[in-house]
Amino acid sequence: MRYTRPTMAALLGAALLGLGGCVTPPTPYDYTAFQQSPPRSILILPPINESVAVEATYSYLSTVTRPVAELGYYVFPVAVVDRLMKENGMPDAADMHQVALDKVREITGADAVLYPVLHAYGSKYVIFDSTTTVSVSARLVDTRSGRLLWEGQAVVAQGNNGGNQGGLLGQLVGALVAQVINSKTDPAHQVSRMANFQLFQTAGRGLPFGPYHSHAGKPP
Amino acid sequence: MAAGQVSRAPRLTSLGAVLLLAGCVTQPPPTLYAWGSYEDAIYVAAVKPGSMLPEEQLQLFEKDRQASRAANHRLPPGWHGQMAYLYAATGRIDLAQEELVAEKTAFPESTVFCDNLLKNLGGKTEQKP
Repeated sequence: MRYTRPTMAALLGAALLGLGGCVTPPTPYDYTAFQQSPPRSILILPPINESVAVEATYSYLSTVTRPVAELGYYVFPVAVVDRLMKENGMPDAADMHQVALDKVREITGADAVLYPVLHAYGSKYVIFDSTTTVSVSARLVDTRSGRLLWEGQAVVAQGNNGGNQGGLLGQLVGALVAQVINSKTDPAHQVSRMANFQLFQTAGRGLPFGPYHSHAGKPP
Repeated sequence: MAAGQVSRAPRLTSLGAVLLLAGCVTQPPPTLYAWGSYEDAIYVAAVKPGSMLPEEQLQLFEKDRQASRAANHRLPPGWHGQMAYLYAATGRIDLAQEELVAEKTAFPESTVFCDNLLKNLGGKTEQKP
């Protein structure tokens, strides 16, 4: 019985810490490796697609240049890189992720390679609503040393319920409209941009600013 | 007067906060580069094959080039590389070469990449009569 109270207190404490964790920033990222060899140029490979959405790889690839370039890095043209690798016997992202770093350096001169992986990508429809989820992680590796310079992950789930008001009929119409819009505009493509913002720009964990940014070298 | 100024400050601050919040929705922050349709065209061409031919992409991007010049806003990294690819795909090797030179001039980080592509293109021009 003596042990019950401390245990309860510990559990409560852990629960409170858990809740507090939602508000307080996560543990700061260790940028030591990055700072020892900060890249100027980044070659972004098409993401490995672990989701069931066939369009995921190129839907995502077309959203990732902008956030990395706007952080201040030179980003190689993703569609040209994809085409070159295909022409050189690497038909899909999984093959491209196996490419030798010294080969990448020799052909492109890139300082670092970004390897994205999509863990989830797409919309789920549940009667009156849909949720679009993009779950992505990425590793940035130095082409000279092969060392991991930075890694991050992001999960963004966005509901798309336009029919909260107007009773049952309103909800039905809302769900129909949402489905039509979703199928037409690939909502995961838009959610990718939010996921990328979280991935690259989360304070204390994101990718540091690159040489073309006025905050060069500082973490986001 | 002094008291009036003091009491105005917090009001201005909250107004600033409201404007800042509104800014998140209506006005995107200034960007380093003029993105135009660069990413959208890559998306459409890759996800819906055949829906946007290289020629159509070139037309869009040439408009973006004019807009970026008019606004004195830099084109993004990789942009001229993409143009070079599109010009090469439509048989205009000289324009492709110009774009690769423009890419490495704007971004010296791309020199090795562009020089290798220029070598490949050089081979192609020699093959053609």
